[in-house]
Amino acid sequence: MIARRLRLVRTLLGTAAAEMAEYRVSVLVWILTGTAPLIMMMIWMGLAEAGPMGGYSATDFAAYFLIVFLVRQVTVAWVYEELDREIRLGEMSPRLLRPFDPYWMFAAQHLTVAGMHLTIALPVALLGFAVTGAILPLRPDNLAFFAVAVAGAWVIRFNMLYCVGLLAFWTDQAAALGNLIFTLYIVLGGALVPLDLFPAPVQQILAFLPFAYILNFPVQILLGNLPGPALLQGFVVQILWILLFIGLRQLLWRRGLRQYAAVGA
Amino acid sequence: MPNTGYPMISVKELSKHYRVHEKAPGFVGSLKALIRRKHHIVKAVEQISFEIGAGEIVGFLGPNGAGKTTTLKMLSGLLHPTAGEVAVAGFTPKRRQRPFLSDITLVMGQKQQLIWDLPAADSFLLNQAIYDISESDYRRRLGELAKMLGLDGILHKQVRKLSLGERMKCELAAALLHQPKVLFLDEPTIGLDVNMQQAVRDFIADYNRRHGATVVLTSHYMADVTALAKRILVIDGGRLVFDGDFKSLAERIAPQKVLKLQFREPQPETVLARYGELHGCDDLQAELRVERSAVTQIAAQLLNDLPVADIAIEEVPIEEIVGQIFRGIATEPALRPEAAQGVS
Repeated sequence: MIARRLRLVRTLLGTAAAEMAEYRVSVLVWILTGTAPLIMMMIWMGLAEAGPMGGYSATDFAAYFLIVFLVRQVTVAWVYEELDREIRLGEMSPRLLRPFDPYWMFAAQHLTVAGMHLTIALPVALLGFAVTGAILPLRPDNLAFFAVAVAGAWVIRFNMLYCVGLLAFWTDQAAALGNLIFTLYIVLGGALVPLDLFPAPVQQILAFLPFAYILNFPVQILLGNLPGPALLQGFVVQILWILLFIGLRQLLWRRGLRQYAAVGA
Repeated sequence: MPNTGYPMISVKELSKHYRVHEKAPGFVGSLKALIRRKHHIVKAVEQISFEIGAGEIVGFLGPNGAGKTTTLKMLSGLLHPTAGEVAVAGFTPKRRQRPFLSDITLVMGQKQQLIWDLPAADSFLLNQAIYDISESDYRRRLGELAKMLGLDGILHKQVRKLSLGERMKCELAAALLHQPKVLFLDEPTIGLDVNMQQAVRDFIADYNRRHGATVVLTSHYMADVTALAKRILVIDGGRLVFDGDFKSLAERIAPQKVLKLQFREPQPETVLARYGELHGCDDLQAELRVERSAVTQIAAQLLNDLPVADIAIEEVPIEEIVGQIFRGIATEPALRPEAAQGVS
């Protein structure tokens, strides 16, 4: 049983890696879209030249956005686009004929791509740390917590967008909703502005949304900005979002298959 | 039609109704549809019942949009029925349990389960892992499939670089690697050249013989159905209108038989037309359509009255029968019990 599972995981990752390696063009697209945090970094560093802003010095901003850059690369998720297309066009059918939840296939593809992105993004980020001297605000002793929080962020983001993609069983606007959620994630997750620079009431609202726990939370861990209780609270909320989205995903999947029209020959 | 074994497939009053949204063309139509969605119900399949025995090969015939593919999709668990019951290999397809999915396969047309940008061999390996096929079984089955389908030299080419025929062969191999007991084949030879059609046909027959697999297929190519299926289900307008062999289908749909005549001297058409419906008259040869019940009597009369050199009594060509079925409308008066009451 375990040997079987291991073989399946190995084959899945191997196939996904081989498939993703074929899409060389997407690397170019990624370079163009993935560098936005680095641009934000330069803007904020420029603004902070005259003096710290909301507690962030220029170096703090550099550290913040370099970590944002890394976290975004690792938690990359486009699964709603794939689900939307496959469900509407009936391309899901061949997957449904096999005794294997397509969830794991998509997960394998996303993890492989995250790994590929990391191999390019990590040297870029390290160079960035070296050039800006932003290594100082980092708390390497939090690295283990950071890694766990990034894993949690990945699970939340992937499952949230999986739910959005599954809405294609009922509507042809799922991809549009996914794009809207991406925008919310960018703004409310902290990719443009560190969340602690938002007014306090806004921050209170953000605590009830998943976006902060996908991006801001792991970043703040590595910056050492979260004392023990806040760290614990953050992980508890991450777990709640994980349970919610995984449960919702299973519900939508079961209900959606009843709706599935399997269009096309 | 006697079943060769216990029923592998059992369908009772199966129906599938779709809700179809209507939208007027253009931007204004989109806006209107946004505010108030109109829809109507399409009855793709309506109260179909049949049983198929283990090891049988059954052909689904019917015009486009008749409900053949919808039925296959319900049998393979892709679509949830609106009403009725389905059991395949003892399972309820829509539950998509692992042992059920390991027992069946559905092959539909072109771009299917093969990963487009990788060689077919990679898709096969993935299926090996998913279906948990042991290394020795995998090698043996792949060897067998490669030999039967002639896959040598194409397994390691990127799927998108394969020709249509090569891709179809790889799709078939991928669909059969787990050695399913039930094969659902939707137009398995569509778009293939004549040789390739024949190869796929031979392969399906061979697979059925070797593994005792149950096969349900739809096809627009006559030869696929006549060569493979002993039993035909005709579906039209979502309803099952015929279940039996070709001979009785011919009797039902074509109440006439063909008399092929060869004369010693030319005969005027007017004379021949007295004996039956004249379908071609060419110098010394003629073809007549005659009511089934009267065929022997008329043949005797012809032999008696005219200088007949040779006479043959044949069924209406199967292509013609199927052509009528595919045209749809033609089958209704002949096959639909309720149509006999004069609805045209």
